[in-house]
Amino acid sequence: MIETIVNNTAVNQESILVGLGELKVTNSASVILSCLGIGSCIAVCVYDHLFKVGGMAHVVLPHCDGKPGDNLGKYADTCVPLLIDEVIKQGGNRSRLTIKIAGGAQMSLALGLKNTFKTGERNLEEVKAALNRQGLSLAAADVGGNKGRTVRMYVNTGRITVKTTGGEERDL
Amino acid sequence: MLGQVYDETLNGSEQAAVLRKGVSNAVAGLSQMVGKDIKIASINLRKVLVREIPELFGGPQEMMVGVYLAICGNTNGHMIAIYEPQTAFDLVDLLLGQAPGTTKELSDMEQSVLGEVGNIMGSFFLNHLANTTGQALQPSPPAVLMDMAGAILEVATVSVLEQSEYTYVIDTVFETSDRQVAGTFLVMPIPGLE
Repeated sequence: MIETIVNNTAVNQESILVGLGELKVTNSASVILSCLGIGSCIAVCVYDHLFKVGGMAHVVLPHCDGKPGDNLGKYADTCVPLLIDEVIKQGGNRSRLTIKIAGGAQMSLALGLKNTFKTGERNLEEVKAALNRQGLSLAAADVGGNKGRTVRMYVNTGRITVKTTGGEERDL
Repeated sequence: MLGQVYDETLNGSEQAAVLRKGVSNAVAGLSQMVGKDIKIASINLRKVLVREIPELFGGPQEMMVGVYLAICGNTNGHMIAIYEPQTAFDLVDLLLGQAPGTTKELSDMEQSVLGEVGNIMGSFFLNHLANTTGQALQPSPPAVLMDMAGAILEVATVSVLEQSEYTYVIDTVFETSDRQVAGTFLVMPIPGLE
């Protein structure tokens, strides 16, 4: 699901949640886009510093199987090009985009969860591959480990922060 | 708070009665282990948006303790017992016969205790379903996580999202009358409605 948030004149900062499989783009300076409590999922953050357009996607799974009517925002391979396109539609320029990602943790190594080991790693591989196909590179990444993260993008400045469970909010 | 509920008609069905009994058995199992009278405060069977499930726990950023067990057999599904961290610590103290306030973090021993609790609840729930439906269902070994609700739930939500944006869940809130023991037992998707 893609949501474009149009310019608003709110004075206070407004936190907008980007949920599982969602993708949100805005040029509204008062907005903080956020992915809260992500584990194996990956928050993909795209920002144009000149026009101050920011987009965030909450990638859940690596690869889209092409089921009709499926939510393309869920999958790394379909979501990344959609996110880039939306940022460009909102005034961003491909040559000016800064891209940062966070997440891709392995939440548990317990027996019985073998299949879940790989989702974080596979999401990471697919996001990187999708960016390569777009001819774009990563400016920063905070990925892996086995703890949850909260990722925020402050659209007024393009500042992106990551808070890992047990840690402090710090810049990415 | 959870947003829109997409189907609540399940509540009156025969299948719902089986599921409710299964959940009651699970909570009764916990009661026996703990030696306290634990009641069910609410049981909801409903179809919801997968991405909104963390709202059941106050939002994806809330710190929680989760005990996860996969449902194994000819049905795929997930069971998670979720507690606020202090309540989980209190539960460990109760089970180990320690003074309240002893447990302050979850190392191997505490995780093992909570895992065992989850195992009992999961087994009692699945046994009832198996007895009623004839399906062979067992819980996987438990995984105990203390983290943000979104990250804990992802083990289940990511799996369900491979198939659909929506799912049927049973969420059961259980507690002692003094709320010393309190938590939620979540099953998704509802077996038979994947």
